[in-house]
Amino acid sequence: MMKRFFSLALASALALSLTACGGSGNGGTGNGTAAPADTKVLYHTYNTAPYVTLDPSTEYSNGIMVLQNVYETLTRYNPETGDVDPMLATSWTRNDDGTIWVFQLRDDVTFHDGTAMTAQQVVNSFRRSMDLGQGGAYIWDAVLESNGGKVEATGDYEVTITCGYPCAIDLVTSAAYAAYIMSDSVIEQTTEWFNEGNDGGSGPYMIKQATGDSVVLQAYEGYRGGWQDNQYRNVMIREVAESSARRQMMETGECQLSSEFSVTDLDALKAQTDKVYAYQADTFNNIIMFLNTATEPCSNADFRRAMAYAFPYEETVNEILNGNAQQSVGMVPSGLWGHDDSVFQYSCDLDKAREYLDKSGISTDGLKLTVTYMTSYDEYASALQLYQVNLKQLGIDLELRSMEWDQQWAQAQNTAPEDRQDMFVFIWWPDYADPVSWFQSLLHSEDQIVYNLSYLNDPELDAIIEQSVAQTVTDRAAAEAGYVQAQKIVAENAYLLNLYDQMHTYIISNSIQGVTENPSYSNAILYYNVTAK
Amino acid sequence: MNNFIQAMRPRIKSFQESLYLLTRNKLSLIALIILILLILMAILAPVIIPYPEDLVDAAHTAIKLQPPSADHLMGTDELGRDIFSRVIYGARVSLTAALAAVGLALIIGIPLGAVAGSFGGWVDNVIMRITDVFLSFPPLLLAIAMVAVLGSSLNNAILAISLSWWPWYTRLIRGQAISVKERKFVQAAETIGSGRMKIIFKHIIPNCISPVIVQASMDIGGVILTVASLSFLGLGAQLPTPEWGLMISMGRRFFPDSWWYCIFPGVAIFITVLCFNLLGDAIREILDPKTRKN
Repeated sequence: MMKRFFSLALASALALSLTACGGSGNGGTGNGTAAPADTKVLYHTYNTAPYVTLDPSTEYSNGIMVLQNVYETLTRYNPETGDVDPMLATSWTRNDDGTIWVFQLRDDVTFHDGTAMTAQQVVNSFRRSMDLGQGGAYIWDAVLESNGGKVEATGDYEVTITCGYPCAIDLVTSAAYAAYIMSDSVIEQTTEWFNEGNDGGSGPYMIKQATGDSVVLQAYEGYRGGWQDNQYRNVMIREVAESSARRQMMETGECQLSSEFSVTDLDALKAQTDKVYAYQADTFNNIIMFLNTATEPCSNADFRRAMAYAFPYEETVNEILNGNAQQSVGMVPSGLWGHDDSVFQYSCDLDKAREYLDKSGISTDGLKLTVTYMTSYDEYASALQLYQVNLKQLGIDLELRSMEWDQQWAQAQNTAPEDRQDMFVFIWWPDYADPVSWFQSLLHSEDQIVYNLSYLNDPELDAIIEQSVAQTVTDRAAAEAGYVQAQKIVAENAYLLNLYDQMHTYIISNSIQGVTENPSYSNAILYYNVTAK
Repeated sequence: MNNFIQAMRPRIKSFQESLYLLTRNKLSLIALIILILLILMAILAPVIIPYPEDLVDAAHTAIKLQPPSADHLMGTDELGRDIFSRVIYGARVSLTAALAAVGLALIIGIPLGAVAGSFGGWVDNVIMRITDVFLSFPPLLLAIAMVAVLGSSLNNAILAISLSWWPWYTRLIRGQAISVKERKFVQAAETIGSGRMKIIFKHIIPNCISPVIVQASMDIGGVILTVASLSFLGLGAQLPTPEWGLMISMGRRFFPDSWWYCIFPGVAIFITVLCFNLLGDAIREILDPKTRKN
């Protein structure tokens, strides 16, 4: 009864909001294809705001939760095959060295403003991302004119992309960021215009309202896949920060889908099988601890190995995360090419830690290390306190510093190495399904520090990474072997610690089915695939 | 002449008289007793807590999130640490932080207010316009902004709170100083050639201090709340410091199933703040006969 009440209340509120916001949402695109009256609402709550911006070219955060349902890309990563499938493209070819790519496009795609997709609109979409140069735009580096690349329409439904150097463009076009195709009618629009709740996509949903902490989506009736009665034509995604509040909403049936619960809330919800069920999705997200190799004491390889042996990997996964994660093996998460189970992984062994500490010759008298982590990540805080206890047994004090991301990152980029942290914890995931994201960004030497937060300058490692990047298109097996070798070097030298690979656990109402998460598009659920039971 | 000045100064109540007035009100008496116990608890914390190792150097995940029991009166946290030990020790952290923050604010605020009120003119204008700037921001928001710049730590939180709190004392004491500087004992001191600063510190400030004492005693509760708020937001005390606000912040993930994790530090904050407020009321009654009920 309570569930029905909430559903009706939500449906009424949503219907009112849809009516009220009719003048703003999508007003700019002249959309004439409205959904028929259907008050069935899929209500998805999340722990943070579902977007930073709704600009398909510049959004570089949670916004893919929305954008993946509103916009489409030429290709899409398939976790089953480990390769990309056609989406707006039907097929593609490349030359031998992977510098020229020709994509054939679907001819039955229409945007939400009713216009048909053509090759020129695809070209304009890519150019917009490149020109704005924000968010994930770096993925187009090989295509930039300044690097000898170009993108052009070579037919009504044919796009040719020329790269300045070999590049796996079929992976790039599947990216979660900066690869979305949009109507020409919105190309000139500003980010503010998109943030007002307007869009120009070709996906199954249109944005009807966006308030910063919530987004209302409504079915695009002209979607080429058509609509069935048991699909949800209305979707609300809303931030509900507290885990306990989201849990209550799931228990009362107020919302049908949520995630990012605390471990105790998750356990409690999993037990309520008469109301909900759990779905655990593998992700490409992993938690990394960088060791500052530029300054003492972490510049000492044996000291770093001691630090690696002191971290409570198993206890973190089993006791802090209640098994909702898995210990990392190497840098590349399981399921993505480049992952290899034979890469050495440290385990918590304080005897070995002491052995390496002695070998390092570094005195622990008055030794104090600092580790920085993001303020809102309480799981890191709990795991780091366990680490602190272990290090204390080695005679080392570990100071935990929780910081806002901007502060944490600014300190890590300090030009004076001695003013940086000793250890830095954060979460990393790729922008598209290519391990290059970890290696190029996190390990390759940099003139100006961006994400190489172990401050590595290892010419051997740089050479392996560069060779693997070049071989990705022409010889995937060789590239993979190179990445595995790089991971072995990282583990051998304990440049950084791969703590655990994240898993997303969704709690789903028994009334719906079809919720799946593609690891290449973190936290994005394709609502089109969700149906009422 | 000095005797004349002394004779002209308002009579400051004797300790016995103050104590009598304080204990006459039952609520104030209870608050005073609880606060004395809290202070004793804070001082003796390292000796009286049952699991001293649980303050910083221990984790026992095998007994994580245990409900209150004979072994752990307030249960255990997510690392299996004894919450009772951490709440008791938290009194030391919170009281020290609050006293330090209010003390620092008084050290800044009182002289500035007295100087502004005594000198008047452009000195008064400059000081009061600066205080106006600080007062135009809500204290908590200003403290958050300062900690964001200074970096998250308990010491920085104390400094930030002091810097956002001093203008209230400055304004309060300035008003008093304007009135007191016209009194005869001040004029007498000027007549015998006492220096301006000597008059301010020896005659004006001591006679302006009553309302500041009342305000400060009531503010301690507010400052404890502010420290807890900053720590809750990750801007104050850092883990594993057993600070009450930080404990609530860490415990909220486990609420409502492991309610004890949040509730007991919350109750500690509630009792402490309430007692300081009741005590502040009592002190006001002692120092200001007009507000006395009987």
